[in-house]
Amino acid sequence: MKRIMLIIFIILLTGCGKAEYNTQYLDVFDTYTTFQAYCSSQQEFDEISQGLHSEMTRLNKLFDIYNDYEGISNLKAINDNAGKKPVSVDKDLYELIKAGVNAYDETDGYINIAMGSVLKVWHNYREEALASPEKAAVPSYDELSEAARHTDIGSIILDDDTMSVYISDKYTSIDPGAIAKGYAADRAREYLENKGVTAALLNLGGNVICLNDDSKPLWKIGVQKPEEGSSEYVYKLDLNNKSAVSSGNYQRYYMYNGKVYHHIIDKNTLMPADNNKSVTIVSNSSLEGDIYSTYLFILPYSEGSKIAEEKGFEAVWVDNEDKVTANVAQGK
Amino acid sequence: MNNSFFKVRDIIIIAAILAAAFILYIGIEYTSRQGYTAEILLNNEVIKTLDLREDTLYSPEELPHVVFEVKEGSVRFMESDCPDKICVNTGYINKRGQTAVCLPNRLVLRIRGNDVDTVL
Repeated sequence: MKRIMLIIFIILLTGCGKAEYNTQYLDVFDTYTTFQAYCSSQQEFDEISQGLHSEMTRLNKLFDIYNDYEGISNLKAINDNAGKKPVSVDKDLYELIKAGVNAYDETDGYINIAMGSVLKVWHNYREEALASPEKAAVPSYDELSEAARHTDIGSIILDDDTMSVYISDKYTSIDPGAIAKGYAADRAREYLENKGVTAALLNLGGNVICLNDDSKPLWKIGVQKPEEGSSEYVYKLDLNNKSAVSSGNYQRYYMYNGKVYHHIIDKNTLMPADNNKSVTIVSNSSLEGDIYSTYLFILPYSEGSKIAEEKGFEAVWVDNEDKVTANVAQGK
Repeated sequence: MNNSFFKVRDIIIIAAILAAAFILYIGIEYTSRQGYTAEILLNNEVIKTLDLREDTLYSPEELPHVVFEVKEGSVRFMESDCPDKICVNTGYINKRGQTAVCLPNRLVLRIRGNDVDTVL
């Protein structure tokens, strides 16, 4: 009998390794989030998933520019106090804004978190058009250029000692849209690593981070066909302990006179950038991927491809004719 | 047999465990191979995708005499006006990569395999 017990024990041991579990969140970062991980039990997965969800919810509240939350000094509070006073904030929000200011220099001003006033104009037109499509319209150049007078990145004044942020122009506001999910995805990776998770995949509505171990050496990622809600993909990436981020014209948009008006605005024209349908960046840091996917989405392929090469990013472009171009730069 | 390393009872138990594991393995393999989306192609162009989780009937506008049926995760050519009825006779399909074809009507019904972990 002892022998049988031993055999059963061995079978149990080898047969009950880790299995893949998955879940989704519908209430963080205004997007559809999916989470997959290899765990030894549903219970273990649920604990990790719940912890991850609270962490994402916490960051979502900090980075929110539309809502107040009791007891939280968030980005809306910084914007509300523009021209009035500095606001002391949580480390994560401070780091996010600092990263945003750095991104401005790195991207020749194309990624400008101080462009809140212009993005707000587009946001309002989009909300209006989505609520009642017959009222769809495009903001006038006057309205946009008036807003663009208040987009100086220098108006954001940071104080490392007190971890406070002050916007010196009362008409300027911060919109972290191009970096918030990337920052959050990097924190998610840290969270999972700290919990000892070694194989996991988080897709934060276009921002993917993954962890791999020997049992799951690769995650297969599809670059979405550039249509809203499509589960079809046009290119396949194999990721190992990396991030992948897509910026596309199908993510947040409205239609006017048969034309797509999406959410990624070119600082030069103040209009939605129209060089590509989507750009996907594979990088180590999801924050960096977020910044560069937006930056390269705005630029024409001829310029963007050079930058991708310099940075050593693997990148995938889907152009306006649905043609897919991928560079397979390695390293970094 | 009595004096050997394994007793008869041991072997029966081991065999039972292995059989159970095998059945479980086949079950998991079978369910994971089931697809969720079928595509209908006319002249090599996708004219319709069907969600196999929702029972439904569908006829292409161009070919009103052809009827597709989605039922309990499977899909088939239910009716067709073609002479040979090969498509109808294929019956239900439900696994990734499976196809049913109606050459006279230039129609292909196939289950799409989502062979990636996520799409972004």
